[in-house]
Amino acid sequence: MKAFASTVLAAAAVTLAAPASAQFAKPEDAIKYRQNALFVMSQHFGRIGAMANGRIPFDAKAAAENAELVASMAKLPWVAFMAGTEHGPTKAKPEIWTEQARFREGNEKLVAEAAKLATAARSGSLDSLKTAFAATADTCKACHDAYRSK
Amino acid sequence: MKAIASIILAGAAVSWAAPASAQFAKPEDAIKYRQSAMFVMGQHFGRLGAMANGKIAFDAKLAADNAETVANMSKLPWAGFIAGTDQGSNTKAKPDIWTEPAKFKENNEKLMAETVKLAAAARTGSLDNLKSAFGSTADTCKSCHDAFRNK
Repeated sequence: MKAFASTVLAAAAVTLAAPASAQFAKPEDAIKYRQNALFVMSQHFGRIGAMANGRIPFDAKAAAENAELVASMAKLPWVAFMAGTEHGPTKAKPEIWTEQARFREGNEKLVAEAAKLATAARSGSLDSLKTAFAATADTCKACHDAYRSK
Repeated sequence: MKAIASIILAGAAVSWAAPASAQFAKPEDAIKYRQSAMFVMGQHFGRLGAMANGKIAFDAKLAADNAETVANMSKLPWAGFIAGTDQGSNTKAKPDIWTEPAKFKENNEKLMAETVKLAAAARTGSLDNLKSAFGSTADTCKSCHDAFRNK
């Protein structure tokens, strides 16, 4: 049973790694890629948060532009969480590779929430933006709690 | 690849907006932001180079996906070159960026224009078109790096 489980995990890891390993010259590049994509996303997300929390004035156009970028950037990091990138300068928890289905689910949830955030921002309503910002932030946090070391 | 393919679909409808005004909490964030955006772009551009130079097999769909991401990412870094970020962290930015802003901006815009052509070339599915557009985009990267980035 244990051997079977290991085989399944290995197979899942290989499925994930196949496209990604062809894309990065070395594991460090994959780690840096996902960290950088997440950082760029977070900067744009932070500007929406500043508006949602009243730290800066609400600017519908800026909100829409930043939300669109968050929605686009949200799709990038995941391909880089491939096998062989568990160690090195990373806060990624091993659970990412042992709970692949759940991790993927978290990735997809963020992509979905970020798309809703962009729609809410385009509506021009600060209330809609606040609601969508909170839902997206919860999604960030749930995944970070489960899969990122402090 | 699926994720990148999704971006292309989204990108076809709404091309990425360049942020109107960047707001960074501290200068280090602006430096990290521009370096991060450049690195992400560089990774996607490198895949096109590998195909253009025959290091990996030409895959028209993969090329189109990566070129679209390069075109989108090329809009981002420039907002991070704000006043007060000429020193610090581990920036290789030369002071000329701030003393020759018009020339720097011209270079930024040239890259954005070249990457749009690159994406169009990649969409044709022709390796020759990709090679040609890759070459001129790479020249644009290099001329700006030579002028504005320390080794």
